[in-house]
Amino acid sequence: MTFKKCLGGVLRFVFAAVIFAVLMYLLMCILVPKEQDAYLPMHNYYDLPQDTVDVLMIGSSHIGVNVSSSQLFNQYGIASYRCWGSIQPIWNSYYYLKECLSVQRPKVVVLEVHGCVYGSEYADYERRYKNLIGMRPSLNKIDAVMASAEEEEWSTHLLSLPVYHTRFDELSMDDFTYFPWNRHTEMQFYSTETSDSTYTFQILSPDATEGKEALLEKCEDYFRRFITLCKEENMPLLLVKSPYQLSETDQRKLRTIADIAAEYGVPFVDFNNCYEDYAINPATDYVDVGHFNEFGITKYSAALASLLKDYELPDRRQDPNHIWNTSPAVETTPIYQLQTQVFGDERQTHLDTGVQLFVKPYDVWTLLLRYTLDNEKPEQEILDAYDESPSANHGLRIFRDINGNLIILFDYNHTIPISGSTLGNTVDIAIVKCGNRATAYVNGQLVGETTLSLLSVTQETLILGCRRMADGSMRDFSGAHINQLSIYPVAFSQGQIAVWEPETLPEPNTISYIETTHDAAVKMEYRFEGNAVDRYIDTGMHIYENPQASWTILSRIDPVVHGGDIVYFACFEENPDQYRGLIARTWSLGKLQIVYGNCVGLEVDVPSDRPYTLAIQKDRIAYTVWVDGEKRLDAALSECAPYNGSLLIGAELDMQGNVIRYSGTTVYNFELVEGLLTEDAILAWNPDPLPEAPENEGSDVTYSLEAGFFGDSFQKILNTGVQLYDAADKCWTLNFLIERKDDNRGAVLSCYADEPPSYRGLLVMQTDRYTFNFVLGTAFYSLTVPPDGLFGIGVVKDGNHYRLYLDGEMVFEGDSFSSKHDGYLYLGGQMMQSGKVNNCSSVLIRALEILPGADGTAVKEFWNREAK
Amino acid sequence: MLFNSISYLIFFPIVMIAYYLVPWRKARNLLLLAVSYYFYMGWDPRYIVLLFGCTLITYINGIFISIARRETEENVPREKRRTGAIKMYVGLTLIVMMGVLFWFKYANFLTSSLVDAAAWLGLELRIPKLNVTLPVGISFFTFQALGYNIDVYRGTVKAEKNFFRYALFVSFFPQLVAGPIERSGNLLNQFNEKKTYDPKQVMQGLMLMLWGYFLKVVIADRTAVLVDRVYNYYTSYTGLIPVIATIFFAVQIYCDFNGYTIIAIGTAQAMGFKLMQNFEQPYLANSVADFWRRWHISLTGWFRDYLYYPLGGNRKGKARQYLNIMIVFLFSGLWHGAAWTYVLWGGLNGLFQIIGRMLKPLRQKALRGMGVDEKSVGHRVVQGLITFVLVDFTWLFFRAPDMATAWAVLRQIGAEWNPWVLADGSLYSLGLGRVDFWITVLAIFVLFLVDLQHERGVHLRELILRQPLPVRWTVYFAALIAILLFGVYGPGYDAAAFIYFQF
Repeated sequence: MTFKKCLGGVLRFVFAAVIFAVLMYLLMCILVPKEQDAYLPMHNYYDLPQDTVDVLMIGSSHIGVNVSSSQLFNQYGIASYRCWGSIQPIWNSYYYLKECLSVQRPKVVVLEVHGCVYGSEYADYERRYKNLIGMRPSLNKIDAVMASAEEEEWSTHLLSLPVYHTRFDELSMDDFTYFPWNRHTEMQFYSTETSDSTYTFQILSPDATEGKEALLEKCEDYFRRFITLCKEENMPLLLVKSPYQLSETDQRKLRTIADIAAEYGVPFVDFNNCYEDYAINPATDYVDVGHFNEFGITKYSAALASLLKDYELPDRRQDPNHIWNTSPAVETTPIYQLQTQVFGDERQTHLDTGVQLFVKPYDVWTLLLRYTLDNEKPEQEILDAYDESPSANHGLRIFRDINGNLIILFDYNHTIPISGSTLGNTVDIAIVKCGNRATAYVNGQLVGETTLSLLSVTQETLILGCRRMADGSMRDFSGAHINQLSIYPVAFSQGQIAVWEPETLPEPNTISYIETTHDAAVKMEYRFEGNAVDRYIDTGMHIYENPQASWTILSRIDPVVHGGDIVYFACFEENPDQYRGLIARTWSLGKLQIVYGNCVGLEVDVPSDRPYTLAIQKDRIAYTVWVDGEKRLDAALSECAPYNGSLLIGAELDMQGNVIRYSGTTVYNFELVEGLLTEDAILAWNPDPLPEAPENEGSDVTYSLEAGFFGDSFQKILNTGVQLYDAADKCWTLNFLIERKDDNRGAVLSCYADEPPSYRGLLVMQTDRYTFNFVLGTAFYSLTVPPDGLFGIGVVKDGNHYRLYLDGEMVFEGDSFSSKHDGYLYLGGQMMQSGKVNNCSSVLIRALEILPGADGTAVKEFWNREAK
Repeated sequence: MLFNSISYLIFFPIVMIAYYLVPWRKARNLLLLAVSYYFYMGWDPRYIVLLFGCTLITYINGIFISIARRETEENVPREKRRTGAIKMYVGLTLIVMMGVLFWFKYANFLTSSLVDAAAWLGLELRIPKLNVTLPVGISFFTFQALGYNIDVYRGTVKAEKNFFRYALFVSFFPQLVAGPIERSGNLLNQFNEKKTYDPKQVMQGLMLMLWGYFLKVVIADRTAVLVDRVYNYYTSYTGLIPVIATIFFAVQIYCDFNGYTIIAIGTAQAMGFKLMQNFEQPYLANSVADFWRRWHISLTGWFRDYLYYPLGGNRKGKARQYLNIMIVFLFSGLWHGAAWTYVLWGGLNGLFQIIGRMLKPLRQKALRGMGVDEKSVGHRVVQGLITFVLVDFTWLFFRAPDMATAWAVLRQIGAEWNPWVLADGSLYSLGLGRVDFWITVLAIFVLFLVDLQHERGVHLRELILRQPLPVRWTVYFAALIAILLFGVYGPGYDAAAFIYFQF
């Protein structure tokens, strides 16, 4: 073979290898799991422009989840980046640091030392790979792999494809946005899902233990390497330990860490010793043993910011070119968005948005308002989310005062004047609330900052165009044109506020009544009598699908409620972030509550001793209510976002669309007219009460198992075809004989609706050798059964009354109410709502019979007969 | 060192490059011998002594047999011929090789069978269990070395005088641990030839390896997930599910074993050596006998030449032929594993062949009576299907860990007729999700198409090599990516050992 040929072959091979490597690299970009935990923090760091990170935070989730970079940026102008991974061992932190320093040089490094109290040579597999796959191929990565895993795993982590090559069946669109030409710099604004749920624990006193405990040799080695590296690089290092439910061992280890820090002259703040200094409260600020809820995050971030003051960091908010000032607006859905402009008439026009801005002291939001004011009338309110009661005086007002000055007011005394606005000009106001810090911007310029009281909470809703007084009355109606209002659940930076350019909203409609023919879209045939268990009527009408739609509801209802919930009819989105729609209900006799539009409540007195008519008319966003022909609400405005749920009579839908709040209310007549009726037509509506609906008795339950049933504990179940609950108050007697085969957990038999939250029906579960658990209706009962041999069980259902028998003897008796369930009785397992078989048992049912009617003697007869 | 491990993927290119860089033939052989021993020591370095011992004994015996044979040639007076000595040497090899195999592989089986038999008779027998690990590939290299001595005895090959070359023949790493069981006539001589670098040979070898990896990590290891689930939890599965698992097992064992063999042949070919074919589209066979002409050809050939023919083959009448077949297949079963399930598996294969032979005249008559053309496609398909069903039935015993499980699985199959499992999603709950399941089925379909082409005499590798460069590269890249994406490897999977290693 000639040299030329040989060279050609080699070149071809190299070329092929390069193409293949490129293909594989692109494939790996797609397949790599984009974990928020460890992967993205490292991966995205590479994408940041030079000199953008001033504070590099490295460590476990105690820094990744417990600190809000957005807060540090928005409140203090600190550009911090959290390069973290859950339970990140110190050796991974060390190699993350090396890698980060090779990309850009921050001004301070903060190390969360949780990774130094690590107790084992290697992390668990999941943490091993997560803390490695974000690193680009480099010598640091090779070293990190060798430190993180045993030798047989090195190739896996170095190649990394073996870790995730099976992800091909779980790819999403997001996976195709991580190619080398895509830039991901959004980590700054990412915060892990925070929760306001609370975990409580007792603080371990700083002197609860004495002495020190040595760190794991490997941990100490890498901890010292970490400090030494910072020293070598002349990089200021701050060591912190976020406060957590400390064990005695960890407390002793933290003392060792403090000693090592002192040895190198590195500051170390162990927050476990200074809860009070930073007002961190283990009773209110945690979601688990080591992670804060949003209150805790705000406090801890503020605490870190105070420590970072010593490092003379630049205020990056002032740098309009900084990446986090110029990032596109956070992709998030506003919690409120005005749909049409509101033109104030200085007399009565106003809009109650239903949004409560000051319910939680640590809420984070940005309010963006655009208005035009072309009159000089003093005392007019543009925006009001304020509690006027004398003991409160909390919240926010934007108004023109008695002297004609335009003012932003927080709480009772923090005033910020709105300067530079002239008559007839459009003014943009942005209010950013980040925990207890509130910042105001006018036309993109920072005009003031204030710290709100932690007690500054109020349930008052945000109103546009007037001021709501403590007694609920409205005054100071404004002539302002509110052109735009958006509220986002995040804190915007000044850069983001400056570039806010919203769409122009449609102008408001003129409210007028249009006569339509009285042709009901929904008309009941029988009266509705709620049983508080399972009865309701789904009208199938989605009356808030178009929030601008007009309709009229005509009803006759009974003031008396027979148990259960209290809803007459509702088409209401039960989303705590955005309640909206319509509910008519009664909290007490003689009182009717109507919630309409954007969750505006109206309570009216109604007759308590007789049925009365209730008419509600919605003309686009104006609501009018009549009770017994008397007008109780006149064209009140409330605008809300669309809601797709259906109008129900006698119940409500929850957020997932499940029926809840089965009521004991009675609705004698109900009509829904699409469009508007004249007031005369509404007043003239007075039909006779409708008759009662015929009773449903349910299907026949008679059944006898021909041969025994033996479950396979995997997938075998038997459908008896019997519906035990197709009428809720059905009466039957169920007997069965069990022969013990093994004690695998599983369902013995089930006629059970796994429909959260309304779990109901009959379920018999074997949990172990000695225990059968019963769900009877909705009640739970645990029965101890003989561990060996034969035994007989009898269940007698008499309406809502249950009796349970073991070997012919009654062992339990009680009432349990449940609603109807159309499912069948299955032996050996459960048929789930999804159509999947579940909880299969390996039970041997020797005999089984079901008789109609509640008959305790039949249970004894069955036992006497079958036991023989 | 498994073929599907990272270490092998590093080991092999280094060995191949070094092999071609060494200019002298003898040095190349020494290099191959050294790396073969290194390769074997990757499992358990202690057993290198065993390999070396077997090599040394059969080498010396080969020389002795050769010398003794020369003395029995025509020019030596009959009374001075040393036929007894030859037989003694061959017997010695037989005893030593079988002794080694027995000690490591069958001693515990025999003792436990004796204990079971005694217990059945109501006697309590206590024999301590031997604490030995089965050396990898023992069944292969003992048979290969034994075959060599028999060949020398028969005079079909000359005794190899160069010990290193002979040692390389016994330990040549591509086929050391799972075959093919090479014949001295084929392989030994190749070590005398000077191999020059031939890019076409290398490319063909690499392509073969790629195909072998596809069979192993994409098909065999994927099907194994489903098969293992069903056979490990057989009490939970009834009716068609165990049937499907057993069909998958037929695919699994074919792709596992054939995958290994193909990687071995490809490895050897990349270095210029030609190993014998071990499989020829076995599931396209039209009878059980035909299946065995296509399945593990090197072992079947070994048994044919060194057991079936010496027993008399088909020369001593029908009855004796049937007996010989039965003996061969019982031994073959036992060779595969020291358990009664393997014996039954071998026995069933023998039995099916005997019945096939007995019924052949009747079958032909019936077909003629019905006017069926035996060469028609329809007839061949039906024959193929029947053969597959019979062979697959025997695989059930091969896969089951013991007889009790095998019977239990059979009972589970008969317990229920549940064709709905094909449609109700049950198949996706057997360890392979919906996507994984269909990828596996697609891969099996690709295998079927390739086998069909081979059956028709189409040489796919030649065909690919004739294509323009972009097409060739697309094929290579597609194959590589398919293996990397759909293969079973990485954490969660130990590099799945090849089934035939422990035989």
